[in-house]
Amino acid sequence: MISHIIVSGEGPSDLGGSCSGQSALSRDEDFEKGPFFYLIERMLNKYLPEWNKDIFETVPLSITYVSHGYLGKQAKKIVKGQGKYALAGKNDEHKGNVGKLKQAREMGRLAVEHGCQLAIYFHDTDGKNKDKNLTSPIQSKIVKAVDQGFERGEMNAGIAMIPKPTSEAWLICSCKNNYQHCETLEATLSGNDRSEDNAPKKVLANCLGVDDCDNELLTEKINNIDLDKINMPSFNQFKDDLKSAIEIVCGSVEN
Amino acid sequence: MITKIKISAFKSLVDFEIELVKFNCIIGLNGAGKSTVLQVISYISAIMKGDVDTWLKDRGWDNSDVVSNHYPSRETLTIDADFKFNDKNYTWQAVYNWKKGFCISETIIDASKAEQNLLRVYQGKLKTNKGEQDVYFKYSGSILSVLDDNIISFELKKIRDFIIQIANHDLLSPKVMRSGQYAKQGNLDSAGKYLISYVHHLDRNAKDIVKTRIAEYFPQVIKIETAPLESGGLRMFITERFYEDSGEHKDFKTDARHINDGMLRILNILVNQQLDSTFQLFDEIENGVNPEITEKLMDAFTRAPQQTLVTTHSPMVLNYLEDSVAEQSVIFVYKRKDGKTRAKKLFEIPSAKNKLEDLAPGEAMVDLYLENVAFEAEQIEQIEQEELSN
Repeated sequence: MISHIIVSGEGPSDLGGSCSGQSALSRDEDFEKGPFFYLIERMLNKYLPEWNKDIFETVPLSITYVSHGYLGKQAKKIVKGQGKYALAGKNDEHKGNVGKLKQAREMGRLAVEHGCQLAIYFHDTDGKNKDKNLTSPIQSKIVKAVDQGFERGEMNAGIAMIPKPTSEAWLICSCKNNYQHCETLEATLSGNDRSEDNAPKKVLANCLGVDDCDNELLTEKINNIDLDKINMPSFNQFKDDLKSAIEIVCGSVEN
Repeated sequence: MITKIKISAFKSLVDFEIELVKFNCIIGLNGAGKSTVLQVISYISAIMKGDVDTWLKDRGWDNSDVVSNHYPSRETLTIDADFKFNDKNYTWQAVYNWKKGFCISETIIDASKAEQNLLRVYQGKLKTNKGEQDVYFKYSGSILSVLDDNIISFELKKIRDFIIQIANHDLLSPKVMRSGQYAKQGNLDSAGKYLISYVHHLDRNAKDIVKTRIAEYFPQVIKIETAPLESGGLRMFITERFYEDSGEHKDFKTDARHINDGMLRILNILVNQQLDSTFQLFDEIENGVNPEITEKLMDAFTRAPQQTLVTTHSPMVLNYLEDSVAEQSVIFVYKRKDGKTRAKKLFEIPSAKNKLEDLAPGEAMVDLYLENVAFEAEQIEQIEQEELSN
């Protein structure tokens, strides 16, 4: 049964943050949901077994939010002054993402400590020009590092939510070409928000006919997208991993 | 303390600039120019000493070996070195002609009185606060190498002595250290040639201090002794104490010829820290040193009374630095596409700085692709140059 989940994101425009904006660790009423948390809610609603959803009618789903910064500090406390670090082995897959691996490890430990059955770690892939192709391993390397982190934190239902290049790409899929050929967005959009015209934020704003997308507009968009029609490798990975985690915890998953 | 050095052209250091603090740790890929930075600093010291020939001879180099491939016909090296003593800033500017073997022009400025030079050598004239005179005598390197103490100011003397007492250990070699060559009191030489001789000259108290310090790294060491050889050389013995299960101990005395490399290297570093040198330079400090004692070694460097510059390839060395120290001290040296070496504080480069939020300094180093960091550093430098030219 899933009754308590823990999430960690980059900030208010993705998964959210504490209402006061001060707290690195917030729970339930103190957690202000960001637009992409509503996507998680929609997907849980879609894939959780009916019996689990029924429970929410009497006991609402409990949510804990933890900032990346807090996780990083926890991870660093452990290594501080010891000079010890995980040595990279031959063909080390985590080089460049050790910070994310450690954050996921700490998040896994927190999940176990707080009795959370599901943990979701969010991070945009971002990336450079050379990563603008469908064969670049940049996104899957982050997913592997986060998975490895959860494993080290002994959290068996911890998953990575890593949109490529950024979370806006998943929404652009719905409005730019009416869900057609969305996978190419992962190879064409810029991973750099400062990029002049190809930055996902700007492309999405153009699609929606606004100058800038605020959280309210993003949430509205998320609540209306057709989850079955988005066919992008990074979204599919998250969807599949979420379904697997639900199956691990609940024994079955809705389709 | 030297706070900044600018070099016009010395091997791959072309229009090169490096900012220094009390403890400095250079990292970078092989061939980036890390050792060249150490070389140029000790070359500058040799110029101030007026003894470039010995410096070249120790390395088996010719005069022309310091010439940059970028300017093969250039005969001069321009040096700009900033110093800080008791919160006062000074600059030594010198143009050294390696073919002529001396500085063809030289200026020392007190930054607070920029209009007034403490020393100026130009077109055969020497000007100090004691007046102006023709330079009718010959000298090597800097004119300060030959000027008598009573005709130069206290400040000039301080700058000169600081530069002269820079001690470079870039050629450190356990084999050479074991050789036990005799010298009168003085420095240990860049290869450690006079290590045993130096220890030999120490009085009993000073020897005890060295013994106590080495025992912090190797607790079994109880005695360090030296003895002259009939051949004129010296031998050194280290006595170690080992315990039986019964609690009884046995002492073993080992000749320096059989002492491990790591112990000799650390002994050399510790002895150097007791010397009058002002600025210590060590290349690849992790060599021969087991990671278990790296932490103590790093503590010894960061707490050293002298200014220190080390190079390393070891992330473990960096991991033992506090973040605040690493931010100031870790210098990333890289080669640009055109082969010119550049230096930048590693944790001022955004990708490295971001990693420091989650990772310890050494971990951040392992988690970075240094080629990408070099690219990023170069982009920052270009932006800074454009801003300067606007």
